[in-house]
This record gives sequence, C-alpha cells and structure tokens, in this order.
Amino acid sequence: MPEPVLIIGNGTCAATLAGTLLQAGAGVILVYAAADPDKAMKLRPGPNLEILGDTTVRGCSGTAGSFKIRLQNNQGLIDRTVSAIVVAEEHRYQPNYSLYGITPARSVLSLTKFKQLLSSDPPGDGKLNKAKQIVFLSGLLLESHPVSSETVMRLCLRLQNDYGIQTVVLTGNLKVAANGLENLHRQSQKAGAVYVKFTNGGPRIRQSNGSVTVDFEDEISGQRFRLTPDLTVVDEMILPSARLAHLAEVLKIDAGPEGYLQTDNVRRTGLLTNRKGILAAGPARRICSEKDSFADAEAAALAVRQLTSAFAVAAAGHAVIDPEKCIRCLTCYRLCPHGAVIFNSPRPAVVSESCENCGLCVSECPRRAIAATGSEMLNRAEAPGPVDVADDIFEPKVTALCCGRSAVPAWQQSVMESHRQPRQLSVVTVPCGAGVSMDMIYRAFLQGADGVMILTCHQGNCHSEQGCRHASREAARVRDFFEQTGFETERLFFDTIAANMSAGFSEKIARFAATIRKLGPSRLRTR
Amino acid sequence: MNSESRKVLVLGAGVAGLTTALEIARCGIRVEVIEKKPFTGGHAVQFSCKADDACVSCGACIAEDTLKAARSHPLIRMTSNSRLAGISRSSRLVAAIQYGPQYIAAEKCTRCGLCIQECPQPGAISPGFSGSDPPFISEACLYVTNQSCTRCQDICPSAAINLQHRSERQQLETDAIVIATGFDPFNPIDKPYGYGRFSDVVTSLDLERMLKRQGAVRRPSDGAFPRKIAFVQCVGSRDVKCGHPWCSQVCCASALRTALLINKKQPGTQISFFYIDIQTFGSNFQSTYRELPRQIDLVRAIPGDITASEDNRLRLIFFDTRSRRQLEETYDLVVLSVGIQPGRDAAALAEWFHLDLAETGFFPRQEQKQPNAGSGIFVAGTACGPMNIQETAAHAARTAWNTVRFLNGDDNA
Repeated sequence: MPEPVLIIGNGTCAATLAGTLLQAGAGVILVYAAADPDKAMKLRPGPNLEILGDTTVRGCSGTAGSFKIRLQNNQGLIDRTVSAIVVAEEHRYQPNYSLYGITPARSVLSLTKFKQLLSSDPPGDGKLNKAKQIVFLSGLLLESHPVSSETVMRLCLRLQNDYGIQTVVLTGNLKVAANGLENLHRQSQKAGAVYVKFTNGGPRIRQSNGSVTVDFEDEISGQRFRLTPDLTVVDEMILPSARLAHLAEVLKIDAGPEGYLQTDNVRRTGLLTNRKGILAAGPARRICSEKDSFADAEAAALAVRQLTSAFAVAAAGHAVIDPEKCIRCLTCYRLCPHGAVIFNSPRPAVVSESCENCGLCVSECPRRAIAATGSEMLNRAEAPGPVDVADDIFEPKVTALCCGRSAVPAWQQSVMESHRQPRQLSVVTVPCGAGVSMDMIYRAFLQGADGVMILTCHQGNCHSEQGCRHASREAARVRDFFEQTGFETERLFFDTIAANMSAGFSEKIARFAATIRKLGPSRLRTR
Repeated sequence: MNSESRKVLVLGAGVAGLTTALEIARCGIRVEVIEKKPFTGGHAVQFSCKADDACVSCGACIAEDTLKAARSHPLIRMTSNSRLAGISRSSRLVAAIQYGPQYIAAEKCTRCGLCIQECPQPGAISPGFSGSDPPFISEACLYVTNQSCTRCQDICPSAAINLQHRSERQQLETDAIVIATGFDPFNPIDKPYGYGRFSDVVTSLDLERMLKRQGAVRRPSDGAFPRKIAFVQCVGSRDVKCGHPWCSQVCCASALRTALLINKKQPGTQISFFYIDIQTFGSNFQSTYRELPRQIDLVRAIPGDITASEDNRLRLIFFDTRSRRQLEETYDLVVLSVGIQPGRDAAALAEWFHLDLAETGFFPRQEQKQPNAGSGIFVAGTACGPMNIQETAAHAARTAWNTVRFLNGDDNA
C-alpha cells in the first residue's frame, strides 16, 4: 500500500482533489492553514482521510514515493510520510476600486461582494428590487481574463432575465477565449445587456456621496453618454494565494514571475513542477475557473497513479557521487534543480528516481566527484547529409555541443530536410545544457575542433530550468580565458534553439562555420 | 481482466492523441494509435517556434517532445496512413482498421535522410515535420506508380524501407476507444479576402509552415521580404454568418507572438494587427500588452475586403475608430488568422459511436463527466472545441484518467 497523498489547500480545488483521490483508492492527508475550513470543504475525516486545519508545512525532505513532511499546528510538530504532494491553494481577489478612482460604497461593490449579494437570502438584500441599471467596470486600464469576464456575462444574463435590470458592461478587450464564452456573450446581449468597448482611453468615472457617474464617448458613433447607475460593480485582479511563496520555499519549487507554483516553462505540462512527485493544481498553478479545478483533480489522480507505475517516465540515466572524491561541500545539494540530492547520511547522495540526468552537479562539482550514468553523455556522431563548400578552401572542423532535448532533434530534422551542413560537423549530445562544462569545451578544442558551438534550449524553456543559463555562463568564462590568452574568442559561440527549428539549426551552424572558415585552423589542434 | 491484455485504441496522433496514449501507457496499459495522415504529430508539429532568444511559451516544441516520448514508449504502437473503417461490439469493442502501407518502418529508420537525398523523383519522399517521425513516401513514388524504382529500399543502411508493403484491413479488439481526431482549420476561400486568388494572402497555418521550413517570412509571389504585413484576426471565428459563434482561443496569441518574432528577425517590417478583442495569453500578459503598441500597429477593426493595388500589393479597407473614417492601407503580405472548426470526420464518427455532437459541431465538452463514459468511448483535445497546445495536453491527461478508471471498472457511471 503506497503512502498517502498530501493535499495543501482550502477550497473547491483541494476538496475535489481529495474526493477524486479517495475514490481512486488513495489515502489523503488534507492540510490547510486557515483556522476554519472553506464552505467548499464538505469532507469528514475517515480511515483514508486525515484533515489538519490551522496547520502549516514546516519542512519537506525525501523524494517522490516517500516524502518526509513536517507540519506544525497548536498541537505542536507533526511528522508524516507521503508519496506525493499536491498544492491546491485558492486564488485571492483584489478589487480594482483605486484603479478606477472610486471607493467601495453601498452602491459600489466588487464582483465577489456582488455575487455574495445575489446568493444571499433573499437575493439582493433589497438592493436589487429598486435597481434599474447596473454598470460593470471590467478590464478597463488593466487587461481582464476569461475567468472574470465569464462571471460578468453570467451575472448580466441573470440580471436581465430574472430581474429586468438594464446591465451595461464597460470593457476594454472583451475576453471570450474560453469554452462557450462567445455564445454566452451573445446570449446576454440578446437578453438586453449592453457592452461598450474602449480602445483608446476609457470612460470618465466620478464618484460623489458614494454614487458613481460615468461619462464616455462611443468610439464608433462619436455620441456622448452619461450613466448614473444604481449599482456599480468593479472587477478584480485574480492573484495567487499569498501562501504559495512560503510553500515554494519549503518544497523547493520554482515559482513563476506572478507567484504561481508553475513557471511559464512549457516543459511543465499538466501539473508538473520542477520536482517529481510534487504537483501544482488548479489555482496554485495559474488563473483558473472552477471547471479547470475539476479537471486538475483528475489530472492529479492520474499523476499519483503513475508514480507507482513501472511504465512511467524515467530519465535515461542518473548522476552518481563518488564517495572517495566527495569532500561534502554540498554544491550538488544546493544546485540540483530537481531536489534529487539528499543529505541525510555522512555524504550527499543522488536519489536516482528523482534525478533527471541534467548534469548540472556533474559540471559544477569542484572535485569532479560526480559522474552521470547513461550512455548519452558523449554520443559523438559524424553528420551525414549534403555539405556546404568546395574542396579547395579550408574546411573547418566544427563541434556542436547540443542539448538532446532541442538542438539534437533540430539537427536531425535539418539533415532530413536536406539543409546544408558544414562538411566536418561533429554533434555531441548532452542531456541538457546544464551538463556543459568548461572541461567539455576545452576537450572539444584539444580533440581538434576549429570552432565549438553550444546550442541549448531557449531561456525559459529548459527542462531543468537552468541549463541555458549555465551553458552560456560556462561559455562566457572560457571566452574570457581565451581573450586573456590571445586566442580567438569567436571560435566559441553560444546560442539557443528549439527542437522544431530545423531551418534555424542549419542557418546558425552555417553562419558559425563561415566565421571559423575565415579564421583558419585552430592553434589548439593537437599536432 | 489482467492488465497485460487490456488495450486502448486512440484515433489521431496529434497532441491530444499522443498525450492520451502516453498517459495511458504510463499506467501500464497497451495503446494502439492510428493516424489517417502520412505523418504523426498533428497540426502542432507543423508549427514554428516563436522564440528569438527567450522562450515565449507558444508550446509548439511540446508536440515534438510528446511525439518523441510516444514513439519510444514500449507500450505504444503507432501507425500512420491508417483509419477506422468500422466498429462493432462483442464482449469487447471490435474496430475494423484500414492500415495504409507502412513503407518505412519507424522503429528501424535512423533518420539519416539518405533515401530523401537519393530519390530520383522530386517530392516522392517527404522528410515529414519532425525528427521523431520517419520520412514518408507519397503517391509520386516511382515504385508506387509503376514499380520502376527501388533505389531507396536498396540503399537504406538500416533496411527500414519495404516498398512491397501493402494496405490491409484488420480487426482489432480493444477495451476503450479515445477519439482525438482534432480540428480542421477554417478555409477562408469564401471570405472577401482573396485567399486562393492573391498569392500574397496566406493563412496563419501557411505562415507557420513557411517560418518553420525557411526560418523567414517571404512573399509567396516573388520571394521578397515583405515591408508591410497585415494580420487579420477572427477569420472564421466569432462569426455567426459562417456558423461559428465561438472564439478559437489560440489565434491572438499565435499571431502576436509571430508578429513580435518577425519584428525581431526582420527589423524594419511594419506590422498591422486587425482585431475585435485581443485575448489574454501567457502569465505576464499585462506587460506583453503594454509593450505591444510600440512594436505593432493595433487596429480595432475587421477589414471589409481585400483588393489588388496597381503595384501588385494588397489593399485593405476598414473603418478606423481613431479617425471614425473609412481608411485604405496597402500591404505586401496579408495573414488571415483562420479559426478552429470541427473536423470533417466528426459527424461520421459521432454516428458510428452513437454520440451526440454539440450545437457547434464539436464533440460535447462536458466538464464533470466524459460523454458516454459507460460505453468505453472517450474524447480528447480539440475534437471537443478550440484549445491551445498546453490545454490540449491537460485535457488529454484528464481523458486518459477517465479511460484508466473505466478499464479498472471503478467508474460508477
């Protein structure tokens, strides 16, 4: 029986996840930081479900399949072992009052407040019976999101149909890029909702004694209008939970620029984070609707199932630390992008199941105590295919250190598409740019290369997040050294590429080969 | 039933089909994927990377990744040129599959490209779109036409080519079927934009393929670098007249990312972007959007029609909201951002599988339950409506989960 799954969150997403995992036969520990559970948390503890409220995560060690988690609440410290961790914290909403220069009042509400008003009993708290016109301020000055515009459209449809209230939506770009939204927009228009769009500048919004007056000029007709709505509803910025920053730190997860627990890196498909066995779901990974949360619950259940499958993704190899050479400086422990190096014995060790074989520890270890297993590391291939120049001029030997995820497939496809290649091109496959070391670059020159080109994934596209930056830094250091010693720095070039850029590969390599051709043979060539 | 004998059939080898297949296979279940086209990877594998030096998260490379992983997974068998010919039920689902000729064996081909270089007949062997896919042999092949040439078969260093391979029909017993047949791009031939008449009016997909193959944007008519380019959005989307009352969800992101890339690669190009509403994409859209007007002329209007100017350029007529006047502007190249519409096989498949299509013509995208979950038929990806590459992968994972649950018998539907 595998260990239970830890879910962190307090709301629809966490509750749905827990329900789905329980149904699938997994044990669940559900942890939330708030004193009280959210309304959506209609779960009762049971033999497979432990619920810990008012509890925070203090520590996390171990790896996928067996994480040791330290929790803290008013009972003290609690230690648990879990197979996987799913973070599912809800969004927080920040009303755009100040953006529009108004303040909340009896007749000025945020979208969330207005939704609460509609769902109260009796709906509207009397406010709606007298209202004739409601104005929504949505996506003016700041760009909105389909999750927010869907809420506005649904409210308009309901107010028009059930209450006969005239709704006016003042908007910038109307966001309809979600399933069924364009249709919903049309339905609400048919029901009488009016959408006024602004492109260059927005309406003039004023507030006195709480109530709002809006003046604007219609962009198409040029006509001037003044609205004095009974209620003004202000949209909100949808932001990640404030708790995610702490969780990112404790769980060693790369957070994106907005604070979500998934970066914009397209390699993080589904719920994946940079660490195996730790997932970000629903509003913990991007702005998402309730429907998206349900979908993520199922994706999480699948990912948990795959953790125990022998047919799940495995890296081609993994790094191994030589205990004889290791001086316990813990560089590898600090740098590993996947949290695969543990330090619970006298020496650090690589957990093979969590290692993605990127090679960062191999190239950074000051004692060269780490080696990567798997044969991919130095897979040299003489490039076949049509070649570039006539025989009578100097033909340089070009070595390309290529990331196996991007540059190698781009090169392969480039050969297939009969793009021209330098006659003497050697392609060396590295599993990731993180595995490119100064050693490797010098070796390529000493083995006879007239020029060395390093090609990794684009910045922000690296599976191990740091490969591109690492390789470019190593290249810069070698070039610095070349400069000091009077060796041509142009012989070493760093660039980025994607797996689907076959034309780009031949273009880049041809440009580089032309440079080296002009420089002539390298003085470093072994005689 | 033990796990070894369970099997899932996936129709379509685009991002949705490949992701579903991978996710199911990773649970230890065998998957058979059939693709009607001669290559795998779907639309996305034909797309170009939009990055200059930093990734812009377009997701096109994900198709490549997924294809590579699916090709190498021991539990997945994939055949192109093959289609479903019928479906019946015994104790399991029985699919009649028309397997097209597999001239080049994917598992033997080392992608050396020798066959393409040596083929005497231009266009007979195509390199395909991805390094993870073998090349494919078309009708133009001399052996296929009159058995007069076997050069590629003779020289292939890994003996991967068998020109004698024939199409065959086979019955395949399976426990579940996933429909991942994707979408069709809108054909703008009937729109007043001169597509098919003016060679410098291209679709967004034409542009993707051009960028991918040539690494640059050129005018199809004369190969020159265009100085002025217009992108026209919502061609076949948000358009009730052509029966498409939906947003295709991917075109704003794709067109704007492409426009920004052209700006960087071919500096000095003037780009106009004609739109209804710009849709949000990427996690840092606020800052992307703020920067846009500095690089691209954003025009909130959909042009009426496109005509040829005297100097063989393209004239666009549109209502300008800034001056409130009808304006004319000429361009060297016009890109039509064509929408996502239901695949042409959707109706036939729905009938075979007794599924109801949504009003839009897509398979219904029920949020809580897959359609017809009890019958072992599932749908993944853009067959259910527009979605981008990342969303497609997420939807496919979800479909995979529903399928796995169904196979384990723990679906209480």
